[in-house]
Amino acid sequence: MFTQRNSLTRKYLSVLILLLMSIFNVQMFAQQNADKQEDLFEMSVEELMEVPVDTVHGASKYEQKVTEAPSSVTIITADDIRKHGYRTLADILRSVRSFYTFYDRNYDYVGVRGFGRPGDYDTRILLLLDGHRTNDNVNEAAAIGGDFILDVDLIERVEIIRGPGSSLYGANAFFAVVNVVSKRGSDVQGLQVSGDAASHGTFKERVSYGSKFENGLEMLLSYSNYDSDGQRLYFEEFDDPSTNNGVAKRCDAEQYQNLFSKLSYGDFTLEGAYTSREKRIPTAPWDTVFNDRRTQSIDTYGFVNLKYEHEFEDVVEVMGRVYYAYVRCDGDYVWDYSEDDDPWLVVNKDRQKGDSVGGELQFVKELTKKHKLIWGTEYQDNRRQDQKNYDITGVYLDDERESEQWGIYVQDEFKVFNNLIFNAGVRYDDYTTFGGSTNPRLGLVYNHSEKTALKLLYGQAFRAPSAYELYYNDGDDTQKANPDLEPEAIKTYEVVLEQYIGRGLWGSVAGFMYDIDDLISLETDPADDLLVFKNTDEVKAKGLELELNGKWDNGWRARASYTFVEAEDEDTRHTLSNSPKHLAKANLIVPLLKDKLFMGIETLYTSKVKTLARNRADAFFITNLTIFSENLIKGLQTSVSIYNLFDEKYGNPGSGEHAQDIIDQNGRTVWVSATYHF
Amino acid sequence: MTSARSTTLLIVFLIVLPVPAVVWAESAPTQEYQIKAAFLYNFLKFVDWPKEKMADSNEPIIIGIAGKDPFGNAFDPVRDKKVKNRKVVVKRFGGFAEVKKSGENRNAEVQRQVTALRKCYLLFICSSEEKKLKEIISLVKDHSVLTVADTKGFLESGGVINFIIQEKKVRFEINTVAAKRAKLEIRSKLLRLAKRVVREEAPQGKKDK
Repeated sequence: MFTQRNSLTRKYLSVLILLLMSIFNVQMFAQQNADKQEDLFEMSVEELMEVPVDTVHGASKYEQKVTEAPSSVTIITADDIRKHGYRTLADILRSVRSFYTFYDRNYDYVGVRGFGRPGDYDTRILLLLDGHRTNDNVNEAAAIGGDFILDVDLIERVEIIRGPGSSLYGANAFFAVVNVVSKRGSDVQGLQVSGDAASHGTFKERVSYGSKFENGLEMLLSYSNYDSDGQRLYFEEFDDPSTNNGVAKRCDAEQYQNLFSKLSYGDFTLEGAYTSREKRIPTAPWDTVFNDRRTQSIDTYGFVNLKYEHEFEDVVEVMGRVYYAYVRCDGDYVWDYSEDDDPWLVVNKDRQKGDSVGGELQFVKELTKKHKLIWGTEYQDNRRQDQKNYDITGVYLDDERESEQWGIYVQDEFKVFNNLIFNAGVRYDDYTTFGGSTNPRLGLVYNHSEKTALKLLYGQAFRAPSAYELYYNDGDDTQKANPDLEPEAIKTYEVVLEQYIGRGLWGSVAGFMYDIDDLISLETDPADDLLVFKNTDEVKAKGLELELNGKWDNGWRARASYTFVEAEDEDTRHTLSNSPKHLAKANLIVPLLKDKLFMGIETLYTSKVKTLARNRADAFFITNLTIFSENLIKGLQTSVSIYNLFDEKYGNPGSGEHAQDIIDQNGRTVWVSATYHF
Repeated sequence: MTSARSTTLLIVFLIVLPVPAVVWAESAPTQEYQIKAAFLYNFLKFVDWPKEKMADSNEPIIIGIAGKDPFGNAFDPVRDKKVKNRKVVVKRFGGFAEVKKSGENRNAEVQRQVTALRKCYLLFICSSEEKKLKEIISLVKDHSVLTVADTKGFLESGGVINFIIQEKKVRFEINTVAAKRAKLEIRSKLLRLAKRVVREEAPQGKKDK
């Protein structure tokens, strides 16, 4: 364990390194900036027309739905991703104000604004890929780790819209909507081959081809493969000769493959994605046999989406799409069924299958100069939501379901005055499982000046109970179903002040309060001692967010944020488990060599949290460093990342299925990557 | 580590972090305007002013900037450059408060400003002056000034060249009727590269795009 002084030295060290690098390079940049300007004046008009603009003034151009949101949006670009060495969506979200992630060596989970209960799936954020809902139709969960359907290298940007989004997006837009936008064929333009190697026997390969043809057809195709041996892990909860003295060998391996294709021509875009991920589980959850690597999760997701978008000049903008989505989540659990000393190991199988077809139609119209209206409808037919559990001794669950859901929404952006916008929207969703839910949102955006904006927001959002929560049972042996579950509901109030401080630097202060009712939790019914999901809990939270954000064209980029939140269970008045009161993050991208060499440094602080056993997981400070190069050799991009630079020892709370109250997280790891562009 | 210490460290960290970047950033305009500055310099090469305006060969070619200047030091390289054998000079005019229509009612200061404005060869009207586009254009009406802006509807208000951003690149559109009115000749090379060329104007009173 580390002494206080060691930790302190490390932290001062990281601040010092940053300061030195910054000061060292200030002189270099002043000169480089002047050089760049000279170059521009040497260019012809044709050449100037090819120079891409880094920063765009005025209203940012977001995808349609996002523009209308009066909430605070964080955008992480492809540039941020490669310069900070983000390898998964979890890495990206972890760096965002008010978000935190945790890992149980099976899946990555995300918490927002102090809410991240151990054991819950990621059902309270809506994760979209190019507008398509990726939350599956059996668990309603978002996959943010190695199981996310798109390779992070293909991400153009991630738009994180904090706050309730159900008035536009329907279910799961509880705490945030995360919209991942993929790159276009013309962004890749050519053939890219990528090879990565990292600690713990990790290797990754990617081949991508993108192009925009003369006739206007644009195409992007990509395949990635990831293979990691994982680590040999020690768990003191299992330190006994009967369980290999707490050592799980070869139980941490992870493997995934994904395929992505996007074709666009004129107003049509056809997009297809597929991913399959296997992860061995070393923690022996749910009383499975320790150190048996047959206990694993295999998750497969796929979808095909056809979209049509057209702007009928001065009449209306239309978007229509149809899709088919598929999910298959398999869990293999090795149990010891023997009654005596002779072990009888059985691999119990959990199989979930989901199939859905659906469509969406959306219209945007400027009714008058003062009113911009968005309205639309969505429909999804869940043709299959099956759950099975069986093994050699019998079938314990064979549940097959079908259901339908549809939604209709409307939102008006009313420009009361030139600097005052009133935004009101409402959406009604209907589910064959539980009935209907209506969710309104009201927002006021006041632009005191070009540099100051004040936003007030009130919104309601909901989360529909998943097929898993409604119907999963093991023949009423230990758990029973609850088809009468109601949706969870959240009310959120937000006040945000955004201020442009000086050239390129933005600051914002936000206060928020939320109230959750009918939170679905797994409880034990006193009547029959069986586990069952119930709408029992109520949570109230309030907090404050501060952020500084700067982006300059010489390549410097800085982000710093601090979030304070108090989230309590309303009945017990206790702070929630795994709810850090303080989150502080700082990111800096420093160009070391103009356009060619960059350093990305990130420091994340998470304060202590309560575990399920009422213990404490200590506060921790993680520093990640990436050195990224582009075109040092023409066509070649390389990066070297060191995660958890100071090898901080820290842990995340385990959940109900774990014997471990705290699950230790990775120490220092290294990742090297090279991409060649033909 | 005690919580008092960690809090202090955190605060120090957060404050210190963006400081060097801010200090350095003060002098640099955004890249968008660096590119637009280079464009303006190029426009001077492909536009011909009437002989009367070009009469005095010792007079520099003046680029005027009206309104809240977004260019910063983007025009620095122009100090050692020449166009049509003359030096290029940039003059900043700040915002326009009240522009009275009738000439006699102007006070001396405003009159000086107006005279200086009319001496410009190219006048870039910043988006801060969005509401007064028509007034500023009419002020320089008969003085052969190439009016440029990056505001929606500029050409329809009578401006000559307007910048737009498309797919993250700078593009421009030209109103040849306004150019003719200002007695300016725009070379075909520039017209060819324009994203849109307006060759006739809709009668006044129609809906603005």
